[in-house]
Amino acid sequence: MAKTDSELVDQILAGDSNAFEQLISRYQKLVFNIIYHYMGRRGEVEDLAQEVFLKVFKSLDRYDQSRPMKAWIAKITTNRCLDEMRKARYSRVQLFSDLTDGEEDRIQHYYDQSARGASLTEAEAEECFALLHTLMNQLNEKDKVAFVLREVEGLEYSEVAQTLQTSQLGARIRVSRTRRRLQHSLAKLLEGQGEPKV
Amino acid sequence: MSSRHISFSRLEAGDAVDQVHLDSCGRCRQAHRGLCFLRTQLLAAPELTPPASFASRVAMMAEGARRLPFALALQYAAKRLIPVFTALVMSTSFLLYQLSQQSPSNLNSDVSTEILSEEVTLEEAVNSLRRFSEEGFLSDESD
Repeated sequence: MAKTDSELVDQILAGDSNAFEQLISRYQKLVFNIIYHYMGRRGEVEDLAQEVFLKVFKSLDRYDQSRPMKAWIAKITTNRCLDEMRKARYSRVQLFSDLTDGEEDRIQHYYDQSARGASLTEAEAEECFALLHTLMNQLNEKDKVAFVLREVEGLEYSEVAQTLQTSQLGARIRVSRTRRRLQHSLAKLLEGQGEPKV
Repeated sequence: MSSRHISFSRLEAGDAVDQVHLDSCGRCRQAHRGLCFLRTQLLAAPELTPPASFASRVAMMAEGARRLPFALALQYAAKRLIPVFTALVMSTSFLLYQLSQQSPSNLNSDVSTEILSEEVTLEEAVNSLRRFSEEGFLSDESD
């Protein structure tokens, strides 16, 4: 029978490194995908995920076991992502938020395909995600975190709220605001391209 | 038909949409398509699968980090002792330098000079003997 998160935490604090490996195995996919879907780049995901788990390990003695482990790990992950984005801004790494004409055409193409009900290949889905991610770079960082956790990772609002240390209403407002902004950006983009060809 | 536009920002995945309104309202229809497109594509975003060795590798690193504080404490203590070691080495070097300046030949010359300075001249010896004889130290006991 699988051990609970609390049991694993107790074992880790008692010095059992095997228990920590089990905890990583349980949450590694969540951490990898939050980083990837938030940052929009595959390259740095593994390094950041490693830093996240080392931070989890160091902070375990301060972990409040009455809170869900998933939200706690998601919080550490998103904090690391936010730090990384701030660092990128300080070091003047360009974060693209404007699409080129060619990219706008590609979104129009995917939009038309989606409206026809055609499914995308894996490579197309990846490209489409990268393009939508560029639109997401226009968003406020915490709104983006809330949106990614809810709409991409499928977390409950209660979990999003715990991750962002806000109320459920606050989390809902952030997600809803982001949804509206993205819809607006997309509509503007498609208007510039003419009526969607359905 | 409902004349109220649909509030898409509050529309969660799986919520029912007023289809009658959608059929008659081009604005909502377009917004709905946009939202469906966003939802579908974001949910279809590729997922990453962590490498098989990731968990064990990070667990090993964490175990190493657990031992690190002792190593760090040792390093910190060593750093604090650096001035003491430096002072010790410098004073030892200075002492050794001083000793090396006093070579064995110099030592011998000092000793010989001292011996020479205490050497009794012939005149001093004669005077001493004369004084001894005057004081009766050298008188024959048989006399």
